[in-house]
Amino acid sequence: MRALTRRVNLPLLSRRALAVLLSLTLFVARAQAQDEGESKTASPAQKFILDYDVPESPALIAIGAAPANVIRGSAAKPVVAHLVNQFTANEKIDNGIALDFSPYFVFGGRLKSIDEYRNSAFKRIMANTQFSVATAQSTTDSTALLFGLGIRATLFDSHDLLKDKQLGQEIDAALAAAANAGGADTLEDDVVSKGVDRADLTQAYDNAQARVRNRKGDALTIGWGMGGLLKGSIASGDSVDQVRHRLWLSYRHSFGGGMEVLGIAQWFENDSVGSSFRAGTAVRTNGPNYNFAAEVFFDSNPDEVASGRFGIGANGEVRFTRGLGLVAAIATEPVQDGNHIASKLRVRTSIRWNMSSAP
Amino acid sequence: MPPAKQRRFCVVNPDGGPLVLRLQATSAFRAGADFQLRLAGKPVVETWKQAAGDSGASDHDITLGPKEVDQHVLAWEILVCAMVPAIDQGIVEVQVMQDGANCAMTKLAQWQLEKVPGCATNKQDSIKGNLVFLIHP
Repeated sequence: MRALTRRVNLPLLSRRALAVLLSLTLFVARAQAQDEGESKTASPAQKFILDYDVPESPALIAIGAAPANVIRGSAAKPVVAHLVNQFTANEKIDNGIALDFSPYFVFGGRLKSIDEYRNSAFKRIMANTQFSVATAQSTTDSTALLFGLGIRATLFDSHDLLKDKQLGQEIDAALAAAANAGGADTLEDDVVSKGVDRADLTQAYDNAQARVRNRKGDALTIGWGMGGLLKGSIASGDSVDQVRHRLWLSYRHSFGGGMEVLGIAQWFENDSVGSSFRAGTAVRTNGPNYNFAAEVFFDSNPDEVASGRFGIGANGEVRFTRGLGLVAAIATEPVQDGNHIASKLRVRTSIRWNMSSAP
Repeated sequence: MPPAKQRRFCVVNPDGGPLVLRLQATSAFRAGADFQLRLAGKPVVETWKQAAGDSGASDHDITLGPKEVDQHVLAWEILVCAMVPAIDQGIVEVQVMQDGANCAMTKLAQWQLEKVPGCATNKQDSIKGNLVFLIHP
């Protein structure tokens, strides 16, 4: 800890960290106020189904720029964009961008029915497999770019909405109740009307949200990522350098009531030494429009506690409008500093845009 | 030049078994419907609600027998939405079955839908239509 405080430019970092944490606190407070309001009035259904529990980008994990160290194991979303920046004490701000998509749906994968999704483990895993690409500025070479590729597959998720039979039944009941064949007996031809708002399905999704938040259960995700340096920012065989791989397994257990414990086991190649193993756990609380987590983790690479063998962090996300979420994280991290490794505080912020959300 | 409008007729065997209405939807669509059966200009003799469900198909036994169904109009409205937001193309179909076989329709009651709204958006596609039963020994 002495080493940590010695190497950190506390006034500069404190100002930035304070600003991030203050913003996060304000957003959480606002979200909680909304939460209280929503218990009295119906909330738009898409807030839940499209924006809930958007997972970290595997490509950002590959280049070590994911906001959280202990990542979540939730199911994939069809298309998500991430805009990240991070700043470490005494270092410049790094900006990056990532795009995640579900290749199964993007490239025409189909489902015959919900039963097929529930009964076919292959299709379910395919539907919950996410591919990701990312790029970020290099901190060591201003003419180079970091690039990352990643893929993650959710092996199971007990909070998967498509496995919620009651949600389907309530949607069916609402659709059938709203349908009215009156007057259709005199039509000379079929009439197809697009995008009518006859059935209000808000209650069905609100009920599902309450069930998921209060349901105990687990999720397990496996991921792989590859990161490297693109020298001269040009992609060619000679310009790719320092290619490193990562493998990880992330797990989530939900206690119900929005409380969860997360776990991760990660192996990754290092720049200076062969490879590292990282394991961590986090406690997370979830609301309809926010989540907040505190994490601890172990890294096998640093040889001393003061140089980052153990780390701590906190992160939070607030979904402040449809499809958009703001993520902020602060954590200690082992960073190569000259010829030794030092534990430094790193602040990361990210904007997540779930592009599958309705405009 | 638009195609000529043509009513849909469903030919059933008066000596065959009871009629079954099947509602089908592919692509994990949710489809809920209202059906009404009546003689033209007369009160409704049978009405029911039906949904395609998780399997994508459900059956309803029509209580009116095949001998009595002649000239009756079966009218419907089906509301459809996409349960999986990424899958918005699929087919919705109404079939009338007798003794395990589809009745011969003069025009298929089948609709190829695109850009079906996600259920979570609170929007749906509406399909209104009808068929007229005819008996043929």
